[in-house]
Amino acid sequence: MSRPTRQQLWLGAAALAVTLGVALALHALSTLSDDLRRIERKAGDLATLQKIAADWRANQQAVQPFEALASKQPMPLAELFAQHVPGVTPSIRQREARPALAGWQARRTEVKGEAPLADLVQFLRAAADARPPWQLVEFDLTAAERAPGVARVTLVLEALEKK
Amino acid sequence: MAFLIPTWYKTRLVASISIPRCRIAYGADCGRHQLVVVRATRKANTTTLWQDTTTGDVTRLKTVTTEITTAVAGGHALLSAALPATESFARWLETPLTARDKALKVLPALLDVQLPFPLEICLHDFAFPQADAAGRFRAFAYAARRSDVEARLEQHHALGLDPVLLQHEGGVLWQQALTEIPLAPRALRIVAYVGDARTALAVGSGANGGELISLHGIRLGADELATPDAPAIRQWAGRVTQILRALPVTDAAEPIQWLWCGPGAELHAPLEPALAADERVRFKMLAEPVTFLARALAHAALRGDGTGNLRNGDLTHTAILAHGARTRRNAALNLLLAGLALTGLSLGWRAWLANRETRVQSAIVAAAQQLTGAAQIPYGQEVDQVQKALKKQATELQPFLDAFQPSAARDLAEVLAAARACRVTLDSLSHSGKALILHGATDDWNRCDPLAARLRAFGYAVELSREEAGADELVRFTLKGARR
Repeated sequence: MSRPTRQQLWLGAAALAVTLGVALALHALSTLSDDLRRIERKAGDLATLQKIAADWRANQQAVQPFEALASKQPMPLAELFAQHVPGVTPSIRQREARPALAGWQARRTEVKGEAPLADLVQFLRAAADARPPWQLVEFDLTAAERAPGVARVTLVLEALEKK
Repeated sequence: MAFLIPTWYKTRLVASISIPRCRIAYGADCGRHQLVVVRATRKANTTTLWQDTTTGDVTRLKTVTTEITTAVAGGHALLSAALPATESFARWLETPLTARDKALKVLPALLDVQLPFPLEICLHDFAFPQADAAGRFRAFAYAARRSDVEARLEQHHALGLDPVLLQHEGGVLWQQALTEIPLAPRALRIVAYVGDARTALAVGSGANGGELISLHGIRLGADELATPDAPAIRQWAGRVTQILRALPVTDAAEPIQWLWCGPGAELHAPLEPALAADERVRFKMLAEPVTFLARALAHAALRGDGTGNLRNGDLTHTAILAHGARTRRNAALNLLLAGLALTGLSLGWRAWLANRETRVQSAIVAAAQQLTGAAQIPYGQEVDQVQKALKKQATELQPFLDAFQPSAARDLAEVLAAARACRVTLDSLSHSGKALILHGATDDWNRCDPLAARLRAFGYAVELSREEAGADELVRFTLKGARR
């Protein structure tokens, strides 16, 4: 068997390269659909995570105003009540607390007493303006028999406080 | 028997070798003792380098041959010489086949039948494959005995010339004549080359831009025809007359055009009367007739037209072999490059896809880790893990979000204001979550309707129930509302 000539070697190398190229191209084409589908699915996952992260970042902005407050404890309701509903000593009872982010908790407080409605509105307005604010969650008013415009009230207010 | 001459050099040849394309080509018309050498370039400049006997100024001839040898060896030029028609065979071969590939296989056998000597001792070439009107395949065959080709080469070697191409002279004469003097469509033409020892005739018509009919050689040249009234002239005229008689009958208005050329063309005066019997013949001298064949050979080489080149097989010139090897090597190299490009493209595409997938996956992991705070997250469960982790955090975020929601104090203020405006008395009012329950009394049945309408406008779905007025003439009512 004679030795291959240089030209035969060139042709052999060329044939090998073309065969390899065609085989790889065919393989790439055959897996293209699966590859693209997988990448597309991952891109979808990434988009979902990015949306979750964006929403989460936006929601977390809600914490910032509370962290920026000078006082992290809400004003005592007894004090507020005394300021706006003079002459009435309410029954104040602390209720459940919900845990919140960053060492905060949402504490609910129940206030019971008899008060003129006008004073009551002033009290609630002052409680809402306090920092951290008190937010009225539930209320129950029953007309008092002793005088018109006076009611027996049960209020549930909630405020965020740093633990 | 006709084919399109102007498209000769464009037609794929049957067995002809590949001719390198050069900017310069030399044509050598070598006779018994006359030699004409011209140089042609692509700019159509043709220079006569030698037009003398082979025993002329040897020193100058040496200069010419050295220039040619150097140019050919450098791959810049081609040298084409003529194989006399008298020492070769040229004829149309018609096959009964319509399939080209099959017809090409039977051509050598058909040629073998036609040749007066065995094909094994010949060199041959087929050109201008085409189908005739009936669809049968035909080609023009050139052949010469190997010994004649070798002798012709030896004749040139003795002068210091080594022709790259040794072409049948008839074909190149016909083509060059068409180039220099166009032929009327219905005319017949004979290009007559008179050398010092031979005459070559290329016969054709002007149909379809110039169609070759046949090629002929006569072993009588200027040396034999120079003597007036010599028997050679009668012999020459007799042979030519035979050829003229074989021509197709033409319109009388279209004469047979006879073009003289060659070193012996100056003898036209004694030869023309010998052909005068045929009144159709009109004689004409080609421009620079002595160098005509050399010009024809050079221009054919410039065009890359190797038609009828019988220096083939193991006699092929090294320049042609090198060109063939170079062409094959370039083809192999191009194939190799194409293969490598395809390989690179495929691998690159795969790598790009993998890289893209990796980048997306890395971004997913980074986002998931940032949102969950976990160092390790199972592959493919990133979104689930994030949603699970954020569900817990979302519960702890909710108090902050609730703090920005409208307070129930607003509802209380609104209800109290509405009751005052509608002049109803409230007995009780409670609110929890989204529900509102209001009990009251009014002195008019219809007076709670505006109250209900106002609460609806405030965003409650309201359900109002009333009782008939009692002894105190007050209408008791209950209003239930649910925040929409």
